[in-house]
Amino acid sequence: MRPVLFISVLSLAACAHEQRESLSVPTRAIGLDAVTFTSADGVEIQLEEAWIVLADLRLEAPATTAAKHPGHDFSGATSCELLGAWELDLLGEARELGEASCLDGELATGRVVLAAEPALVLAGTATLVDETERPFLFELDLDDEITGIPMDAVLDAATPPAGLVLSVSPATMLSFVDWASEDSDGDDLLTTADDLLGNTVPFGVVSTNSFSLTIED
Amino acid sequence: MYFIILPLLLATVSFADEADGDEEIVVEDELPRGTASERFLDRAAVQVFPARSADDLLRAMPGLHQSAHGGHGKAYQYFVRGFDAVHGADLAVSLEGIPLNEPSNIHGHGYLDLHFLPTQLVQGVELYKGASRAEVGDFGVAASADFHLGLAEPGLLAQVGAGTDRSGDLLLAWRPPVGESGDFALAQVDAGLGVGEHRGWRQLNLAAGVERWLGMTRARAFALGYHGAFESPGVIREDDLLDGSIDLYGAYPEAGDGVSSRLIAGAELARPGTGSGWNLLAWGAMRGLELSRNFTGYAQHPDHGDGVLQGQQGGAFGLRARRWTDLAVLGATHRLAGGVDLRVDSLDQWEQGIEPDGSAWERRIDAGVQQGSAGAWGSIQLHPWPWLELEPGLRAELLGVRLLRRIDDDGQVVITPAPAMSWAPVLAPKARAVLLPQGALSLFVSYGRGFRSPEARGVEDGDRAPVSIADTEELGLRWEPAAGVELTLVGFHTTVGNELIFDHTAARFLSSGSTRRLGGEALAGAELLPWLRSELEITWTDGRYQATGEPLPYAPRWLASAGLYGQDVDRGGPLRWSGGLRGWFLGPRPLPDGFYSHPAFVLDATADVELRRWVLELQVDNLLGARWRDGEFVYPSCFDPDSRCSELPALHITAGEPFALRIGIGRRFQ
Repeated sequence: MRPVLFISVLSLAACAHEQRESLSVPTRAIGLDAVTFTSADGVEIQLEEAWIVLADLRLEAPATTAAKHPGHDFSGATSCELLGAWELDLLGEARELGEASCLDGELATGRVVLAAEPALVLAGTATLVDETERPFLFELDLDDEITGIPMDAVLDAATPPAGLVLSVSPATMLSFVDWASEDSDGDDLLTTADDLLGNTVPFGVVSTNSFSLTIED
Repeated sequence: MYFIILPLLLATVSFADEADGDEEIVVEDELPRGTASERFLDRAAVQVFPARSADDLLRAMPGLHQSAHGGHGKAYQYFVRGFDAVHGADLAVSLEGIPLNEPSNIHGHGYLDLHFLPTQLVQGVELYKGASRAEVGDFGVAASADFHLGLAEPGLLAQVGAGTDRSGDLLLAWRPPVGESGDFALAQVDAGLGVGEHRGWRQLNLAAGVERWLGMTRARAFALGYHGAFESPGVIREDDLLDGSIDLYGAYPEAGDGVSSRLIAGAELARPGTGSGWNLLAWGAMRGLELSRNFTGYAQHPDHGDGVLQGQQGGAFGLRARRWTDLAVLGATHRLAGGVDLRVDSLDQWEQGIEPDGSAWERRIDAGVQQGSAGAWGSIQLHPWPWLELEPGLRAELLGVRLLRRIDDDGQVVITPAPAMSWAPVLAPKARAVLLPQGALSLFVSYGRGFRSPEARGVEDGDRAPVSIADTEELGLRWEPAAGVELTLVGFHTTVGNELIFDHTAARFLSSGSTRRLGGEALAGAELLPWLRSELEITWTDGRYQATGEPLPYAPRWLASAGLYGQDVDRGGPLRWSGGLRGWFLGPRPLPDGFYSHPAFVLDATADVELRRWVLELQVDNLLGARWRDGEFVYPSCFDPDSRCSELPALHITAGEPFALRIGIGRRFQ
């Protein structure tokens, strides 16, 4: 027996496997193309201010159908992660967020934290179909995490993608607003203190449809 | 301590018909082979096998790997033939027939802690893979083993030892000059700080046994007691290791501890003999266990930390009966064998979330459990022709669980007025066949169904208890081309219809679907010189989920070992010596979600020299000083509570045994 040969042969045979690899993906966030847009019910909305504070973007692999051993046997769903906090001007240029640390494999959903007080400011004027103008200022203190942002991508360390784009849509956030809501406090400004806006605005903000994640090849 | 005292009292009873004082030595491979993968170690083989504890002796089972991720005192984690047997869930181990796995243990179902068994008292060990033996019941899913108890040498041995791992031990072992190996008394104190941080241990072992012959009937009683306290270094993150913030043998402040106590006692009557025989065994056990751990830091509970304290107290008793008889039919002798087993366990157990200072902040488990099993088996060894041996068998088992007390979702203890009760019957067919059993070339075929009882906290009242079932087929070839030379090839295939896993957080069973294991083993042994034997073993296993084809995590794919074992030929001379050098290779293991572990090669050695009643014992762990990784685990963790914690899965490591040399010096007194 020659131990060195024995060990070498075994090592060669045993090491023939594919290890899951890591990769870095440049990540940026974008907001609106234009400051004016029209809602589905014909309301024209002009944004004068739109910014959001986001933190800790994470992408997750598809849920496995077979339940795996809890604890040590479950490696966790997170496959891609960019830690940090970013104040994003949704009316401005795209912003580079940094390099996300990722593991190769499938990605199915994303999540991101709303992490500031306020976490979101949307201000502007909504012009209703009858030409009525409703100025608004929505400031939200949300200690929440947007989960389940849909995506469908496969990361391959051999052919890393050009980038990851997080899109935030104020239009979708405002799509649940009833612009005919009563100005309860009579200050001529729609805020979350008025009528049901305290419910409908946050509902739109935390809607997964207000965010999207795409991989750029 | 009455478990210890009882055998000593029995020893004072004078029996009319004592056997003479000849030492009883079981010769390796004396037992008839039923499968090609069986292996028997006698005392001489145990002596030369590098083993720090009885657990280490299980490494002699080809295809078995064990990981000591909890320090010197916690049960090992076992991997065998593609199974991650965790702390013993798929590996049934017994001591003289007393089942040692602990059902529904708070730390893991089938918890297998052999620290109570000093290696000096291991007279031999039978190692079986698969589930083709009808006499093996619960937990005999992937493999089984039975330790034989006794003290080889008569007289008093007083030995003191010390090691470079900052350890020391004191041993007193006594066997009467005239008597059986089952007559013994032993006391051992072992303590050390270990190499690195938070690896200390201290343990006390006490044992006594008595063996007498009542005419043709052998009577024996024995008891073993153990108390140990130990530090458990836990895991370290690979990225912390690579950036130099922690050493491989370091530990985070959140590392755990443990205290373990165990008493096991048995009384046996046996009528061995040719033609027929029987055996009756009654046993009892008491258990105390407390373990703290934190493998994830502050990832799950940033405000409190993820520390967990688990505890358990309980007892168990059991009965076992065996009978066999030879039948002469049509000019051939066939052996009919059968037996019954009964076991009852009663446990109180708890689990708490603890702060870094050890104070409890959350009550998670507070349970009272009763668990029992009753089994009966039979087999018949047929020899229709000299060239063929057949042994069909069947085991029937009734498994029952009662949950007397549990905790509700609000953390309140619920004393169940009508205890939740669940039971399940199991029928486990077995079959073995040997072609040319007496020939130089023998062919072995076997099949067996193994099963594992449910973990008590997961059952619901009235439910049929979920039982894990595994079916294993094995095909083997053994060739002895010359005296002292043996080659064995084994192929095996195991299917698990529904892999049941107990989710401790939700206290319910999860189904992972069906799995299969496929593998092969090659073993070669040769007597190079009259005093030197070499062995080479290689095992390959491929375990996968049937539905997805994903590999089963953690179970080794490649395991290999090579050993040289020697002892003096003239055992009657003034100088006696024995020694073993064993290297083993662990290939990369598939980890969850596409990761793989690092390979390892470790060389261990042991040597004993005895000259004119002076004894010198050497043990060397990791002779080459390899910085190897005993366990590797993939999951998110956060050991810095002030940092923004990553949720990406990270590689965590438990360090393998570092280099350590231990020397013991003793003297025998007749």
